[in-house]
Amino acid sequence: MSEFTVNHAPRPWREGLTVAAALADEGRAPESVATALNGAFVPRARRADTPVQPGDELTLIQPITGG
Amino acid sequence: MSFTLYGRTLSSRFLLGTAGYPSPEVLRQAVRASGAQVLTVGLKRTLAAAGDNGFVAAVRDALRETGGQLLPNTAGCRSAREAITLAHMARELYDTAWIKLEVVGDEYTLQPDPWELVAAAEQLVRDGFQVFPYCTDDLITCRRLLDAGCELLMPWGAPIGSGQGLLNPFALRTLRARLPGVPLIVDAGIGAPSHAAQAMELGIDAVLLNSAVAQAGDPVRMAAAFGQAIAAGRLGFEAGVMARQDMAVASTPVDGRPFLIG
Repeated sequence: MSEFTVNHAPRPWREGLTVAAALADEGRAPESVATALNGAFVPRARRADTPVQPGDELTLIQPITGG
Repeated sequence: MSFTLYGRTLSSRFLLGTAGYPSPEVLRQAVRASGAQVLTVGLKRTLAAAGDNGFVAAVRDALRETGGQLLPNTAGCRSAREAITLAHMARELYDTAWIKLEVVGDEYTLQPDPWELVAAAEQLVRDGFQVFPYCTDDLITCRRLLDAGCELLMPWGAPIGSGQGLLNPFALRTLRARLPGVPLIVDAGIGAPSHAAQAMELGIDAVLLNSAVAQAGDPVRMAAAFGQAIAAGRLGFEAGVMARQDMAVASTPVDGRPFLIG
């Protein structure tokens, strides 16, 4: 079975998968995270038409405190 | 006492980090005590929709009280490409074009990588960001960052979190002398309020720190102490610190003074 990864954790890949769909599969609210695919930023408005391919790495980032 | 960063006029010259506080309430109170109007925040990878025990909410609450501004960072980045991506993600999440650009080149000192830093700054300025580059105190690197379109600089005082104070006051004085009019913010290495006051007396425009407050025995009182030290240092700079002398110079006039003995 083909896989992709979310923050380095393996996930099953399926035909037609997009960044928006992968985010929904993770149970994450769209506004709660920022996304990048293979190290390239994917703006919120582009998630639904950005396909995820087998072997891709999807990065999800959320706010934290910082210095 | 006010000053301007990327068109935003601020009354406080104290920029405060938000990491490592004992509780969200202590963070909220420390921000209030500091008077800081710029608060730094970060980003992290996460799989689950994990809570953070209310720390980020505390930051947002504190900002609402002060009318302040968030400054997201690119902490943890090791290359220009990584930092550029993270900056774009930060802009979307925090809804601000301000970015504290960190590109580290050495794990031991967390020293910025000047080549990657300048490359990232050039691209981010083209992408419409207002870049706050965390850099060393090297004059030529600083000039390259200005050439890249940065309107201010954030030279280190000492390695991040080390609390050593200003390791190279000469370099900071040189930056002040050679880059008049460029806002300089000492970022990193400050440990005690006296360090911050020293930076301000050198003519540095502002101080950014985190650990010195968050790791203090009483972060709220330490935040207040830094606020006062930074304001005092600035006032001292504006008032004009007297010139140093190698030898004693009597402060009491002796001319015409009656001699009681002899």
